[in-house]
Amino acid sequence: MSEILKCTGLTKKYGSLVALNNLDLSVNKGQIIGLLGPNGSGKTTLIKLIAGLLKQNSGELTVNGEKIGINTKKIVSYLPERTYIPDWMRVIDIIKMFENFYEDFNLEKVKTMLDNLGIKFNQRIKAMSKGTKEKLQLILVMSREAQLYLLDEPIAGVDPAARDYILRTIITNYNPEAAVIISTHLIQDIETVLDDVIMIQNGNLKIHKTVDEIREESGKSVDELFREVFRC
Amino acid sequence: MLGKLFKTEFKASGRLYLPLFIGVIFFAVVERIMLEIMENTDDSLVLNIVFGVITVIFVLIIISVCVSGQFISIYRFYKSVFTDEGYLTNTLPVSSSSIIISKLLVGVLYTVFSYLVLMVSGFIMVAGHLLTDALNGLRISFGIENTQISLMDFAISSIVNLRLTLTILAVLIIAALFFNILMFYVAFAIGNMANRKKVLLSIIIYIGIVNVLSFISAGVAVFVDWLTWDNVLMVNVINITLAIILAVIVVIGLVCFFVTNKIIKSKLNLE
Repeated sequence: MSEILKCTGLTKKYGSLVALNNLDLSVNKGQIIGLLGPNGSGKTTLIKLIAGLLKQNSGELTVNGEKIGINTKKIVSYLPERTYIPDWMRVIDIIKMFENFYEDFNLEKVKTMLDNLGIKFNQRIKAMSKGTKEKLQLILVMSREAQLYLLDEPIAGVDPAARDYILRTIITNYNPEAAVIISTHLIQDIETVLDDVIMIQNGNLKIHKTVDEIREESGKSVDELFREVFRC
Repeated sequence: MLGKLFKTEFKASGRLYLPLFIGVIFFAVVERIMLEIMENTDDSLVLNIVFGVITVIFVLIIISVCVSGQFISIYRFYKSVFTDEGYLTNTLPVSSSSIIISKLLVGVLYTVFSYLVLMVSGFIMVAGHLLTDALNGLRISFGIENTQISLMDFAISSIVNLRLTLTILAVLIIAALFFNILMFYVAFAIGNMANRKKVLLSIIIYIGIVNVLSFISAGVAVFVDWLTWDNVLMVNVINITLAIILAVIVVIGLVCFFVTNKIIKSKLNLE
């Protein structure tokens, strides 16, 4: 399996606060990885660094062997925890925008998924509920044939039925040659789809193992292990 | 990618500018019709009230268009780069400089459109015999009503004599359009680095930049005054002064651009 993401000595500070501390990490293609940790552990910071929204203070960060930049943004599909689609747009406008800017955007995929979730092309973003906006964003992100998907809290704001659909969407729509990093607190919901788990705490790597290793070594589920490791 | 960004921004800004442009032209036509009616009918209270209301709306729309040119560009820049929309804008596979340039070009273009629309509305207001009256008024005020030189001839002769001055002035006006928007861009980029009250801080930074500029302008004035102007034609004095102002604007504009670009590239602070 070839490496899609590599962090070496990655450090990010916000003033005197160290968000990521000398992090070493490697992610291979073909994996679905759960990025877990308590609030303020550095998960979103790591994702933002990979997406190119932040710049590290020190250390190396590469996606597919390249430093973060235009070329990595072409192959990284990022779902932030915020709703970012401009309110004045209709669904068709944001689809056209994705089609314009991302060469790997698959229009057929987006049509199918919108149809499945009953979202119309001419629907106004402004009139959508927060949950529908989140679903639309996920559809857009998963409709790219990207090599690395970064999903920051993809299921936090949607109902349980939609969660199942979203998880199925993630599993069925990602390219097997790609990797998916999912950051979430809803571990039980995603545990079944994960291959690997990365746990970070206070910017430090705590655990990086396969789900099978966790189950074999500790005899616990990922959710149980998380509760044990990060017990307050 | 710059073309795609430009197209996207042109469309996004257009939905804000177009209603204003249409409003100005519409009210200019209505105002003109009202003027014609008032001119050909007896004095009436109702007509005067209607005319007064339409005039107030027309003036308000004109003021909106005057300030909207740059305001909308600045709003669009702030909204799409530094708020939640920034998560979309800043993860597109484009350079940060392309993002700034596309928004800047669209901002300048719509500002120019705003002025053109205002000119068209002005023309609608005075076209026909009103225009003739206005030109006659100008002739009288210039004191040339009895000379052989028509207003047009007068304008053409000035252009020939002051061709270089007007060229520099034209470049200066265009540079100033870019410059004004860039000053806001850099103020918002610096303000965004704070964790709280970003917009307020950005406005304070903008006021600070304007104050620094007034010092620089005063410095330029002192410098021009200090230079020896013996045996130099007045038109050349004007040209040199304008060229110095142009150079200062270009240099500071470039500094604003590079600082804004650096901040978006390396110091982006999205919520």
